[in-house]
Amino acid sequence: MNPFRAVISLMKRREIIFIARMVIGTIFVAAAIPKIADPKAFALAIANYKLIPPSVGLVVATVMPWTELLAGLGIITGYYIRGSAFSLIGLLVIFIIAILTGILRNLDISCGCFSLDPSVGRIGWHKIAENFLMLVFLIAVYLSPTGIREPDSSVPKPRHPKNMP
Amino acid sequence: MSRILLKRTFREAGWLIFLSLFLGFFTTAFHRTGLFDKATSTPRLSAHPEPLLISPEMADSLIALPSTFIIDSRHRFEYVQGHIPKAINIPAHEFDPTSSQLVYFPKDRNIVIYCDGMECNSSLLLASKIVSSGFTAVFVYHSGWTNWVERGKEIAR
Repeated sequence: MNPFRAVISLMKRREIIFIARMVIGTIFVAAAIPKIADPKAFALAIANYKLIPPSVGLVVATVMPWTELLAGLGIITGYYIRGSAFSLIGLLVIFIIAILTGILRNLDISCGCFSLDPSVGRIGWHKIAENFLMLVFLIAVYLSPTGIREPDSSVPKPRHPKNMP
Repeated sequence: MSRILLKRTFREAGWLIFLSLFLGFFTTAFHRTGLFDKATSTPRLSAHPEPLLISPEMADSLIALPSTFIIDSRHRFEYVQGHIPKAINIPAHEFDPTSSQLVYFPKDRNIVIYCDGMECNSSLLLASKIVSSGFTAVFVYHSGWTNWVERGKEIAR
């Protein structure tokens, strides 16, 4: 069996999906709380990346932590799990691009990911690796059939007796 | 991936983003922080006192303090010909609050600014610029350089 397929089949296992949901959900909830508590510090962390104007950064700092929190809770509880996983995938892609451009422009800034304290250290490739790993597991969560009943479009809806000809 | 899954994804993600927008704006407005913090939206000029005009005697006592920062706001060639000891030269029109050496000083540090004398405005102009960049103890030695020389004080070159 080729190793790529082995990984894919492992990622489809229900236990793996469950653990990934709990771990990633907890990570995002934990990351969101300090940002919600201090939006100005988070806005500063965003401004350090010099990708968007500070006024836009302040709006992002106001809204994004709540998306992280709600989607993190969604992943954990399984409620709105598709939308939550999709939002977190979107956020992770943005984070990876931001950190990557930061590294390529040689910016000496801290991540602003979990702690808003600038002393946590400079962004680096380990952050990209962390985010990429979470991204892979989130895609697995998104595509998994965990506890979701999809309406099957191939079966026609039963008609109400009143509407019968 | 079915169309239904995609539809469901976008509907749920839309609700999540809508709820985040609502909660984000509501909580920051409620706590008056972030976007709704008055201190970040109003200019700092109004939040700080005006620069204070001081007498030659008070200027002497302030200049005698080792922590006082003395600024000569005249042109560079006048400064080179003679200035108050320890004073540095920041011509008023060249002052840039983001790149001057003042950035590294505590905002409550005493700053004494002077120019030529009663007729010159550059010390007042520079003082108001410095006050609006956040300094709280800015003094203008208004009788300035002329008065300093008349009283026979020490001159540095």
